[in-house]
Amino acid sequence: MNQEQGPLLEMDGISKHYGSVTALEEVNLTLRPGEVLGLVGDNGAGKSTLIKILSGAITADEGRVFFEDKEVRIGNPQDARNLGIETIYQTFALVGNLPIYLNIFLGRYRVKKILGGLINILDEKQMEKESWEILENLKIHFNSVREKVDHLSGGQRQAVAIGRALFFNPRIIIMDEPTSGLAVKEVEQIHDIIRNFKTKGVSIIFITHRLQSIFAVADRVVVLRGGRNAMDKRIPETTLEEVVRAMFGLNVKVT
Amino acid sequence: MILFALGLLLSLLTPNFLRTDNLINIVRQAAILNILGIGMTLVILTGGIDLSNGAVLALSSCVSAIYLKEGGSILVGILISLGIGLACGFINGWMIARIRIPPFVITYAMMFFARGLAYIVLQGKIMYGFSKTFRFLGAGHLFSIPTPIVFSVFALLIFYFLLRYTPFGADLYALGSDEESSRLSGIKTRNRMIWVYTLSGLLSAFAGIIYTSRLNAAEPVIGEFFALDAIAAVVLGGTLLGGGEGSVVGTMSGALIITVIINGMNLLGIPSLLQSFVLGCVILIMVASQYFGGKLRGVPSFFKPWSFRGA
Amino acid sequence: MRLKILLEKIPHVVYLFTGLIILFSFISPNFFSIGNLSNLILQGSVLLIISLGLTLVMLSNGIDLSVGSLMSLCGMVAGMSLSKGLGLIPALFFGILTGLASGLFIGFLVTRLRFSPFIATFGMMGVFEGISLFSNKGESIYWSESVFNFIGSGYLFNVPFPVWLAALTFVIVYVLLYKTPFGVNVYAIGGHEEGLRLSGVNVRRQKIMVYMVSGLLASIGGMVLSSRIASGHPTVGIGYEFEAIASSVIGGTTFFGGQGGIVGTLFGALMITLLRNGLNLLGYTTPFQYCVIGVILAVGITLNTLYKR
Repeated sequence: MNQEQGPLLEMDGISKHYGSVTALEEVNLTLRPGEVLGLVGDNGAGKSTLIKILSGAITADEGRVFFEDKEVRIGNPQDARNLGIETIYQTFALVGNLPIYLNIFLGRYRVKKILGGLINILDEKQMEKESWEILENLKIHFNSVREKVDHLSGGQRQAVAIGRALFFNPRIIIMDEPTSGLAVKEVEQIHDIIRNFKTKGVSIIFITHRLQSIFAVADRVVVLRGGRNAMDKRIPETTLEEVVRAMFGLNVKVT
Repeated sequence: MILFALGLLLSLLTPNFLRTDNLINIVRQAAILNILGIGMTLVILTGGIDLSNGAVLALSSCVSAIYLKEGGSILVGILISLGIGLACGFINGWMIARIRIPPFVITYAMMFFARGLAYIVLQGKIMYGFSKTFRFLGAGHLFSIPTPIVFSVFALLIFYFLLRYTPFGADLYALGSDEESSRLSGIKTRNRMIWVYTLSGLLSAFAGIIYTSRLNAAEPVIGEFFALDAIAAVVLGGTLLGGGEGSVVGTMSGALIITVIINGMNLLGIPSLLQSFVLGCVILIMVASQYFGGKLRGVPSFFKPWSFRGA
Repeated sequence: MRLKILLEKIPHVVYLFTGLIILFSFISPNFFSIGNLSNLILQGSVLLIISLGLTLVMLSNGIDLSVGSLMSLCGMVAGMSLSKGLGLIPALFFGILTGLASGLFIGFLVTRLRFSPFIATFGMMGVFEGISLFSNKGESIYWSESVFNFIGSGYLFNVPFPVWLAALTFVIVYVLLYKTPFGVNVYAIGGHEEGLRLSGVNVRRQKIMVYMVSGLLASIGGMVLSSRIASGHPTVGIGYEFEAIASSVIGGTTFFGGQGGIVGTLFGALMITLLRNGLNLLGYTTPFQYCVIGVILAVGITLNTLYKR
């Protein structure tokens, strides 16, 4: 991790209201290149809302976002992708009815030009080939990339979602609860994947309830409570107890 | 294929069925339903519905009829008609995509609106007697194939290609299967929705041109049940009402099935009073047989996008 | 605070409806007369009755396109009984029986044979229409003076009988939907059918019952209608299914089930009737009415949807 470089991403004063409910109030977040950031907080603290703003799924009511020191507008998921921000949602956002290779390339299909460049048609062979390669690298077994995502197991689906995010050489990967519902061995696999991303220089923001994961792989932790910043510290400089206290705002004894 | 079975049955029941001119008749009559069905397929694939097809057909043909009767050029008349269809469809799509009005409601409202407008425009009269060139569109022959058939095949090919081979088509299937996931994955869902309804309106107008040309008359009351028939053709053809699965080829067979049944009823001399009864029964029986006989095998899997030969 | 909660519970269609009434009152002096308003309610009664049934169906994630032609059929059946000299009770009995039987059959198609409700009721729509037409060779059935006519044209304490019927139906359906397990299940099927099945509820039977209720209400509506025109007309109900669906949708019921309610449907039905009535009064011819209805529908739903955000 490069400490001399300026931040890759800066979210400044982000607020979001849903009617009379305030989801986020003046929230700040910074992310450095190659940094792994853990985003934690109790249910309803605003974590999902914040990353959805970053991924373009929703728009903020107030606040600005800076990417590489330039202000950017992320109005829809495509904008985020164009910046190199890929998101792996908790529900994976895959279309079950469609085959794996189309899901990987959803919305940005490989195309061939015909009729002198006038019309684009799908290059399915290419997509199948590339999908196969991506998934092989993730070391999870697949029978065929033509399989409908519906027919896959949870772990396979996660692999497809991860593969999709990875394929487009993102600068930032957002992961929403990547370890929920996983067995211990699988959790370790996710940790390895995150470490892997990091060696490639990709910055990562991940939301989790599993605080041990933060302490296992993250460089920094940001805590949200009630829609506001509650803590922002580097991992070596804090403890589990301190994080929990920040999450709940109490003096909690962690045994 | 169900179509074959039906054909077989009918040819046994009446000698007239298999006559060439009858068969051509059938395909020709199915052409209009087919074209409307294509538009409806697009809409239903994305999980929506379009009740305004018939009314838009009427409106677009009435307006252009007035223009043509005043001696306007055919080309402009056609453009006017298509333009109206496009506009109505766009309004539908925009309201659905941007303001999030349920498709049923807005196309229902549009149905009323267009139908009323058609009446107003023609003041309840009928326009008939168009120029010979215009009549060629619906009643002529191209290499001895009736023009409606040519047009419907043409439309079928274009849209088959669109759905099966282009990114746009892929987006439609994704959108219909899971709108939110598609949106999160970067598909321009709103844009696609608007397009789909616009195309449906356009095709309705296109069908209107052929219909008016064939009848050599335009009146505001035409197309009353066309939308429902189109929906039936689409559903019979294997497209799911919830979206995400289906094909235009299936819709074509659906349209043919319906037309064959009606034709058969006419040939067998079944009184028109009973026809809707028989049609209803047959539809029910056929769908029931789907249940008993496994998946609908009316469409060869080659034509169904996303079905894999040998996955 | 309590007032705010209460206000939030009111379906938006109520506001729209009130607004329309005010609008029409301004435009035409005749509108706000007792005579006209009571006429309005009378006309809306039939629509309300069948819309209630349709709302129930839609709440449980279904649809019923056959109600219109079922109405005609039940009217024909009652009419035939009457014309053969059978009394009021048998006529009612057969009419209601037809409605219940149809609902049962449709329910069977949807639950056992896994038909999509759209196709099943679409097919049955044609079937009912055909039977209605064929039963009397396409002609209306007339009967000699009978108590039956009271249903549609009679008055009870100066209020037209259909209005009483509609009100009674509304109350019964209200209780059914909001105070009984049946009603809870209706909403549940619309929202989470699978979860409900896993909880041990007989979802199949529930669905069949919902379609039977819809059939029952359609039969009542059809008989009231026939009574009003004092004849059994084979196509009297055409188009009602769409109006019923529209009433429910305007009233806030969605196609995916689980959301909506009959209070909204009540106002939706009134609104559609109001639109027709108001436009008639203003002297607009039918085609123009069509246009305006379309526009107002669109505007209303737009406001409704936008306000929800």
